[in-house]
Amino acid sequence: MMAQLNLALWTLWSSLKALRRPVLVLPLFIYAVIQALILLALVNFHLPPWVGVLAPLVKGLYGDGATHYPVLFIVLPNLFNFVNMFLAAIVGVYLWGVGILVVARYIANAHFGGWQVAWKRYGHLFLAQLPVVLFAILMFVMPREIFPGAQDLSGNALRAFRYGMLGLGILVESLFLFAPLAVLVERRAALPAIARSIGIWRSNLLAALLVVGIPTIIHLPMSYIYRHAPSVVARFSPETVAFIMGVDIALFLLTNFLVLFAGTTIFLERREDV
Amino acid sequence: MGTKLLLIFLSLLVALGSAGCGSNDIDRRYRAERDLWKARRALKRLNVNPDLVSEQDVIAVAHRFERIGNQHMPEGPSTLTEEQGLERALARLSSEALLSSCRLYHTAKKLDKAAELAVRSREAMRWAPAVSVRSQQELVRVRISQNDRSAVIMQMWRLADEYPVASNDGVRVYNETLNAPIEIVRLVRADGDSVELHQTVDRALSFYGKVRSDWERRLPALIADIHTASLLEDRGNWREAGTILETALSSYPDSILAEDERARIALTAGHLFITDNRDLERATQYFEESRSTDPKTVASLDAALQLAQMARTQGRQQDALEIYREVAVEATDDLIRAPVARYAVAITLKELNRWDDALAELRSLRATFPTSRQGLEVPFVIARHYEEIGESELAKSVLQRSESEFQEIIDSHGGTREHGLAVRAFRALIRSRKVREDWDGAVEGLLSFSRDYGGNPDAALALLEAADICQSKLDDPSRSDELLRLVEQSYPNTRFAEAAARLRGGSSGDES
Repeated sequence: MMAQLNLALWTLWSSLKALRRPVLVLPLFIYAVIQALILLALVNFHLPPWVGVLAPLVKGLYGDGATHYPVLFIVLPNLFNFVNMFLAAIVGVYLWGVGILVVARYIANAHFGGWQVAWKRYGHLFLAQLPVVLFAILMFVMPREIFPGAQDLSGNALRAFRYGMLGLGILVESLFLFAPLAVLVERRAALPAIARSIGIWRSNLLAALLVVGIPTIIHLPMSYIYRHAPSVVARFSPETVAFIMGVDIALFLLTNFLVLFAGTTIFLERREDV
Repeated sequence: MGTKLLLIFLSLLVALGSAGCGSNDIDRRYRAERDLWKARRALKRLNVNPDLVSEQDVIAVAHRFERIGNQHMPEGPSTLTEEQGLERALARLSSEALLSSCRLYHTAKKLDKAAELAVRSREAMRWAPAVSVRSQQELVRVRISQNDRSAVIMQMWRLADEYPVASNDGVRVYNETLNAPIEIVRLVRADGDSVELHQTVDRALSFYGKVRSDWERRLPALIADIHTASLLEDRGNWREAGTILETALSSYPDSILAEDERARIALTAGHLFITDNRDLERATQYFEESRSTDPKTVASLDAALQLAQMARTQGRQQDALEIYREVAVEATDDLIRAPVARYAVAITLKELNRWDDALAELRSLRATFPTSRQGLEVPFVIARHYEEIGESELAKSVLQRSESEFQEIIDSHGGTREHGLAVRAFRALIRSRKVREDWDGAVEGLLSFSRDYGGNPDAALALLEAADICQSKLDDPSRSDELLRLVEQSYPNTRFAEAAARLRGGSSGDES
């Protein structure tokens, strides 16, 4: 238990130190830049060329009212999360894979491949991460169908539900944390990689949960702000919401790197143990 | 490979963007909404602490709204069809901006600019009555600030003419538009000639007649009924006014004619039937109808007071006493009706030869409502009773004692926002001295009043009265003359100065 706790804290600390090397952060930085561009496009959805694509999307998801100022900024966090899910499934998987290879090379001092290897293994990477993506989509698209009573919750029950959902998210993400590593480092196919990830997860349960959980908790204040987007719009200005989301993207760059670096470290350690 | 994919993606995006149906429309509307929202924020900041806001700040925000209105107002005809959804939305936003700008220019006393913007806002929204009416209302307010009576009247008639289109937009708009003609009549009555007044009343009656026929048995017709009755009452046509209200009471359902409104109309109808040939039977019927609603409403209390008064005049003092007592209990919190009812209880007890009970009631009234009209009247009622039973000295001593209380009220309320109480107490003080035949004291009181309320018409009257007492009671023509000269000097070119000059001429004539 203590060993796993030490392992988690040590790997997170190491990842913080590794931040000094820009080359390790580059793939996730590119991902953050794409996210920022998408945020910019969503904020300017009314301008060509985005309007043809984004206006129907905004209308379809939140109704015609969301295309009005400042309502757009109230739905913006949710809208961005929706787009980001697909971005993560399509582009994020690839850049995450590249990040794994770069970090693995740095940690193990061995060459596992680069951008091209990640591209070649893209199909397996995509499938290995599919359960996490599907879980996120289900939670986003059908929360009412999955948790029919959740709409009526309030007070402590609502808080408990939210923390429960957060815990479930951490659990699912940590369960599949090592699957991309198995695809890229051990060149496994998607299903065996998932099985391998679950195996490592079982033997390093606490470390895996902490490595995913601690960075996730850093985003809790942001979630609180997003839930109160109408108040932010009314008290400050609508653009404040977009600014906070920009800060959140930068924060995601940091926390994604922590998870990636710590996950890779644990995976390589356990691989050596084997 | 990657570059190719990226190029394909971007081309696709551009193609979709340019093919996006109504994309430019969304952009135009969104920009207008954003500009207006930001201007409203600026206005909100002004409203946070209005005392610290300078006129320049107000004008700056007004200018911002005006610019938004000008920038986003769609070009083309002012009548937009349902299909022109975007143009309508933009026109609405722009018109709203112009209206906000108008209000701010009005606040900054830039009245011509405010009027111009109100007109533009109205003209842009001919197809949207709610906005158009609001602009028209604003224009009326601006004209009132400009003191342009004829323009006010003209714009109010325009506002009234909006009523058929405004009627779907809520009671507030109904009232604003339907009240316009009666407001015009009030304006004309205040400073117009009788011919103009007659014509205006005719036009208002014809307007309300049309509303009544257009909106039969609906709220606008009810409002028109009430206003018509009021106009007819002012013309002395009480029977017709009463009949209109009588019909209204019997024909409107409770959903339109609320209980308190029903009570008010029944009360007015009762008054009209008394005024017209003293039709006591019908008046009683309507006072009772008004009384049958919530007994604590003002109309119900007034109806009860009327019923009691009728019982008193018909010699049914005991019935009157019971009603007055009921009202005194029901109107405990009503600072006007409670003393009226309690005073009436005392007077009715006196009429029933129950003086001891009456005296107790009067003392209690004086203690509870010392500054009310009825409270100030108490010493006079008691003094009159002592006079009637031959106790003149006792009567005078009652009045003398009360004078110090009157003086106390004058001292504590004079110069305050409640100076009306001080004026009332002054009058009581002077009256008391006159009843006691303390003429020097009465003159002193009148002069003191004229000093404290100089410039007030009542002060001029006080000086004239003092001059009259000096002449007729104190046999001091020189002092009387001095006071009349004072009136002439202090109130030149007024009817008071004219009266003073006439009296001086008369007195000089007497002397010669």
